[in-house]
Amino acid sequence: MIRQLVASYVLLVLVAIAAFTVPVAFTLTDQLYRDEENSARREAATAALLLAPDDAPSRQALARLVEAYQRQTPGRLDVLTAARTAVDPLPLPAATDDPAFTEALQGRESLRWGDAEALGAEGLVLAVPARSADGAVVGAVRISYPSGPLSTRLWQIWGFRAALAVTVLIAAAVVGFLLARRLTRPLRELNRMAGRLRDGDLTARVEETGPPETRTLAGTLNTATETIGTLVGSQRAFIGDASHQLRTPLTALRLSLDNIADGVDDPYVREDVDHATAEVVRMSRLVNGLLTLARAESTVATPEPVRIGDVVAGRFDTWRAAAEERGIRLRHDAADPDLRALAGHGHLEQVLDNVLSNALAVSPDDAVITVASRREARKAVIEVVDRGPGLPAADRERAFDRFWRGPGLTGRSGSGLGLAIVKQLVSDDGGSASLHEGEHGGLCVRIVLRAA
Amino acid sequence: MRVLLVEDDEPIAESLTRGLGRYGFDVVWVRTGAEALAAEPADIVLVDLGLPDVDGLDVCRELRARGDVPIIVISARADETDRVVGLEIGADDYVSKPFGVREVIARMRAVLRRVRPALPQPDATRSADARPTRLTIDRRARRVHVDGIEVVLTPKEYDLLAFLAEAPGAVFTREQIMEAVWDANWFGPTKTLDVHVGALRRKLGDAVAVETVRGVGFRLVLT
Repeated sequence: MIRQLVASYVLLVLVAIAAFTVPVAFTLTDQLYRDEENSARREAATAALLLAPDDAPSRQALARLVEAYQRQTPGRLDVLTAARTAVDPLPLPAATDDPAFTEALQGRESLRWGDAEALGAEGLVLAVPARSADGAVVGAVRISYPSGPLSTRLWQIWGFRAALAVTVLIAAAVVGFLLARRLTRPLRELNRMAGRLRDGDLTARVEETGPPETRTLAGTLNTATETIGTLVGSQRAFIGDASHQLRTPLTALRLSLDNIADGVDDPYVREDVDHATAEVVRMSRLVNGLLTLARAESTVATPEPVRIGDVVAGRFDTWRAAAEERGIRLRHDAADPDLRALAGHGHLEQVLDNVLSNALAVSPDDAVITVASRREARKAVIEVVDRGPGLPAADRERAFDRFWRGPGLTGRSGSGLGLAIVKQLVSDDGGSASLHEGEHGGLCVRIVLRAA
Repeated sequence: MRVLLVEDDEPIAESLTRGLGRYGFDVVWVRTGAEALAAEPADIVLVDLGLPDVDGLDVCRELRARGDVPIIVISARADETDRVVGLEIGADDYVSKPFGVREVIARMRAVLRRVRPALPQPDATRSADARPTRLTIDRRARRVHVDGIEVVLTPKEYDLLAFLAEAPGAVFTREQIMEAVWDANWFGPTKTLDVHVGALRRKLGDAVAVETVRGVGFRLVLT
């Protein structure tokens, strides 16, 4: 934005400079050439007047004029009689038969810029006829004036102007940059605030200053953040309340059942009480699962880079004992051992726990559970593949629903929330979770997170 | 042994009072933080965090400032932060709801043993099971003997056995065992527990039975 603003300022100034300078410069150049020609013309006219009368004093004066002209200017003044002979006492000029003399001797003035033979350089060649009192052409005067000094001057003028233009442009760029910074300051503030919001800081607010447009935007953003904060706050409060409200009666029930169990000797009653206790425990687990899920939904955690290799190794340490009991091997195929994914604190651990728990429950004895991690474009992909019976396509889509229970071993004892929690945690971190058919007929759980 | 129970929910308080009374604890029940601070000194304090007048954590802090009475926080808030704060403030243990009577007793015994090793422990089960058992646990040296021969256990296996042995015969839920032994109460897999139980069964042979109570958890049965 700043760059574009500065570019547009500089462009505007450039157009302005061009519009004001270029025509003036051309006029000035033209003027300089005319001046040069006019002064040459004046000298030539004077010399022609002195050449016209054929008397000694005039010739003396002409000779002095020629001598003075050549001494004081870089130009040359040549005179020629109508018979193309030298005018006494002056020597015969060089290039007596050039077109300028020819044209002047024919009674016309000749003016051109180009190769001045008399000088052996580029310049102005002006020739005028000298006429006697009766109008007859008696000779010609030719002035050759080099264009070198004029060119130098023109270069100086144009160079100065160009330097001036560059200076003005630089000044415009600097001023423009400062202006643009000032102009975009509210936007940068908004951006900073939005960044904090993205990182889960719901207390972030932005000062409502600057031009009306950004002020309105800041106001809207502040209000939106306020609303989100209230919603998240009430969700969190609900979780806290629900947690308390549900657990309290469950505790009372559990304690009463314990008291009953301790007070009876009838084994049948004890068995019934044990069943009731088991149901209370089951309900407690359901409440815990729901609260974990609800918490995952309301948390605004900041995803941070975690090394997938480390997390997988840590989870394997936890599960290895359980796996080895049944001869199941855990394997991590890491395409890039240093691959990092963006995940909230503890999220990837819980996701892997839930997925590995399912994988272990469905795996036959002595099977292999493979965790494969690799980078795909800007994503980190983690696949957990088991050798279990797998799931039909229809079930694979529904398995992430809350309270969905699989047909296998995990379904009977599970809460039906494990994969729902996985999906929630992964999408909290801007990723996705999906189920696919594994290579060996088992299930492949694919977790895609943003790579760090 | 006097127990001060600070709990605002009447059904819980009544059941717990009756349950603890059965195991020889003399329970004084108060509903509010103010009453708790005004009560006679007790041998151990159970504090609920959700009190009507003040935060249970403030009660803990105040009690801790007065002396070194063992404090166990009982709370429906199972958040990791709550647990950490509770323990930082000076509570000796943290039991999350829901819990059973014997689970609380086991935790109380463990805390008392840790805090006041010299005191004699009230032990209703031991008096009932007065006959010598094949399993002996030396809690100071953290050693376990079966029929006089030492059994080598990993630290976690020992912790698990020691916790289950606080109340032989009592059923502990997986969650309570995880909380007490692994200091973690997360929703989800408790497979680690199964593995350690498996190891205990192998190593202890038929001296004790770690029974699986379907749908609930485990209990230790002395033979």
